[in-house]
Amino acid sequence: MIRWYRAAIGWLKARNPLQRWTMAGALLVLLLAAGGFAVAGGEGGSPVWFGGRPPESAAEQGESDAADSGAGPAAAAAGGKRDQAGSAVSAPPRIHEFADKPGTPERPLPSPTAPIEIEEGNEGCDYSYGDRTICVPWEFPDGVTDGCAWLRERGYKPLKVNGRDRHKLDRNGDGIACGDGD
Amino acid sequence: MTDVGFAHGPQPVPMWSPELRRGLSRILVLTALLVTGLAAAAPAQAADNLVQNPSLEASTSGFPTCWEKSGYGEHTFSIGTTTDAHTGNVASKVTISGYTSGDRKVMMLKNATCAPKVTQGRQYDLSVWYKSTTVAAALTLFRHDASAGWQYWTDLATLAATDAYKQKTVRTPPLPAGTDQIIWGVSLYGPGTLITDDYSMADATALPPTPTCTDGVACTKGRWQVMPYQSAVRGIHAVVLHNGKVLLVAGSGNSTTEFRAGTFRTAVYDPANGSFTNVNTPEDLFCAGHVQLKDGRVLVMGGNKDYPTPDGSVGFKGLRSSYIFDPATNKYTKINNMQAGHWYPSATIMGNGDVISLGGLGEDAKGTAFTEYFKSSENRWLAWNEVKQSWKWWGLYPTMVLMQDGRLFYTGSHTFGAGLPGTGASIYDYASGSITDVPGLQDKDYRDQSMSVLLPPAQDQRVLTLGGGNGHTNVDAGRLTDIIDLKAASPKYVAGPPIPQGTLTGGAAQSSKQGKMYVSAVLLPDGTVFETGGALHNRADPVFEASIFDPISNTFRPRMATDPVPRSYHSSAFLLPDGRVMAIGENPGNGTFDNRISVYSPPYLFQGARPQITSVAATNWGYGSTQQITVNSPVVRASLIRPAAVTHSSDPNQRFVELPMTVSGNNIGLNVTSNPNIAPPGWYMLFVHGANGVPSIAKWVKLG
Repeated sequence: MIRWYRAAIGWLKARNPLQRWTMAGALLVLLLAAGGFAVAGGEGGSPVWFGGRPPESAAEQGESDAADSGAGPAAAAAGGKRDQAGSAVSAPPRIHEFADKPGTPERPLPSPTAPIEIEEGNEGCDYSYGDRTICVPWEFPDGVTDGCAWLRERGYKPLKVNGRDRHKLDRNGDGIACGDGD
Repeated sequence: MTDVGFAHGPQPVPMWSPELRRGLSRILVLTALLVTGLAAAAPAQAADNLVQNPSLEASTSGFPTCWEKSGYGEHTFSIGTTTDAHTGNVASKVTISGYTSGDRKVMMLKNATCAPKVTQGRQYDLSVWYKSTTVAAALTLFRHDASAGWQYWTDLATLAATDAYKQKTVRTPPLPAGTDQIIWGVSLYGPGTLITDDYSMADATALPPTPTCTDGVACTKGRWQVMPYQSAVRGIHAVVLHNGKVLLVAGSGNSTTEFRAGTFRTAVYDPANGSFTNVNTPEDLFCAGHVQLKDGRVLVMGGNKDYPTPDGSVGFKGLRSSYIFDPATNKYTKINNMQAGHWYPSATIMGNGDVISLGGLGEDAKGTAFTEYFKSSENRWLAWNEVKQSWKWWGLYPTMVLMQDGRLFYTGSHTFGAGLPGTGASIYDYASGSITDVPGLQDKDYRDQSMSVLLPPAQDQRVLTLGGGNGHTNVDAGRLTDIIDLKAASPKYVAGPPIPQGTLTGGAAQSSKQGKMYVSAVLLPDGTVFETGGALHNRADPVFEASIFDPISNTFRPRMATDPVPRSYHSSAFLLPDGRVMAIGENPGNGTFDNRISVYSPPYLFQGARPQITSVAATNWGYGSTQQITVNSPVVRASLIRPAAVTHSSDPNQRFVELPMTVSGNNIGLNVTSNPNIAPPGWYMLFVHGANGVPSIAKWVKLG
């Protein structure tokens, strides 16, 4: 170790500065090239950390003993929500079998033979007060004892009563709910 | 031995003495060892690769250690290893033939040793080398929840077919709360052969920049601005157009005076300059349904045929009419009538671009049980005998959310009165006609004008339903929220956190049980949900409260800035392409209408510079594709948000579609879902956002 080291040092001392710098540069380039190849070389820019080899032909490819295989039940007819047919150029939709046990479906309904009645006041309004764009509540909120006061606080003006007066808002019977005297 | 040289002065050193050759060879050997050591150790990446046995070389019982064979469904398959490796001598190989359903894959083992350990909220770059004879290959993730165990999480990307080894790298979204491990692999879900090798996984979480906000409370609460002008029309219906403008439809605007005069109104509002363009409105489209078609035009169905009779004994009547509004011409074009009248119909675009419309009141003011089907390719509503009828009446504005397999989820959110009989929520399969109740919705008869949203991202298939009341009984509206995971085999709602409390007119605090109906919920580009507006009672007692729901933590960030304008009946809020939220409409029971416009800037707009999407390689996007964009600064997430088409707290088509990223500096590949049911065809707002949540201004892209 010492002898070759002394020999190398002696040899280097015998070289002129230009020769020394040239050799140092060459060594640096060698190291950088080797390092660069290790980090960035290989197919597609992948690091070559381990020895690679070119892909084998299909005929050379062999399944290992670990291969497993199977076959599901006979194919169901394609279509409906599970249809995943696709072309070779665009990906078929990736659809999962989520929510596949949601419960028992409702019994199918027959075509209705009578109109589906909508309960009056469904929209929450008693249209027998004022214009139909006015919405006097079908029910006042819990705790409201003075409907007219509640309405006035919310900007309602006196309202013409169109027939019935469910909420008894026209106390003086003049046909105007929450008017003077109510 | 005489040292002649020294005796006679310096002598030339031989050029290649034995000692020198030996020394140089040792230097070379040492250098080679150093280089080999560097290479073999792969210090920078191998140490960061979280995948165990990433090259599949180590084997246990004849199969790569820490990997397993996995899959389900009906198909013929083989699965194992091959020597056709990218590196080393082992790769996995999966082959499918006779495909009907399901998938087959080689996945990491779900155990404490093999499954990579992760941290919730962080992001990871996943990479795999592969060959595939088919495009029916998807990078699939499962996650381990600390409390709920292992579960499917998402598919991040579709892998292009390739004869030669190719690398696919994709970044996960932020990991959901509770996630402590993930596993992943490539799923083959069609006929073909897939070979994979050399997996890697590395933490790619970007640290958020130091907060720079100097805008006071706006930094954490955001800020509202009431525009110095008012809407030209009553904004009862709002549709964001792919030119960045907003279609505001009033029809008669809930005014009998306008109705009697035959004065029906629509305007196109331009948020950029505050201008309104009036649109000739041929019929009373008040209380119609609406949805953007895949070409960006707006399909409008139904509307108001007549107001209730003066004594209220006969209610509103629905129109059979239907129109298509074209943003290019600002004109409505009449198309064929539907089978029946519909006042308050739903409108959901399907994965094939067709539209299903349900519910509402008919021309006789009775419930309409017809299923209406708009066939996009023929630009018409199908006749009754062309449509598979369920004959179920779905109520008014039933919120029908498209599921990933093409079924519709009725969320239970509706307008007026009690919920439907049964549990109040259900899954409707148009293809088979089956309707199945879904359990768990709390107080289903008190969800009148609640609002439901498909939580970000759409791939997660979770729905949040917020608030609601009952305008008929007029009880105090509630604070309930419910969340359902439609990925479960038997989905059921579970209770979510209550809506934070606000104040009533005059500043009085709500009591502990008081919530709100007429809720607006808006998907934001940072993947959160902004909820705003509402009222305690039927068309009365507005609630001033706004908060942001985080789908990752399932919690509310309460006490956001509140809209100074009451927003109850006939109000809506929706996302603008610049990342702000616009709110419009207020129609209390006294018959007035507030035409003021409010715009909310969320806290993310006060956190510093916005990233910019500097280029989008293509604006027409295909399913399963990878789309290229460039940005001007690092971003952590990209998404497509479907523009709003909202009325009466109902916008079933609103969705945030995750675009998993393949990142190379400022060049970003965006991996588009292969499933049109996740992102129905049409125009979308493309957003990116940085690590501090600050979103870009959207670019418009057309999907499908």
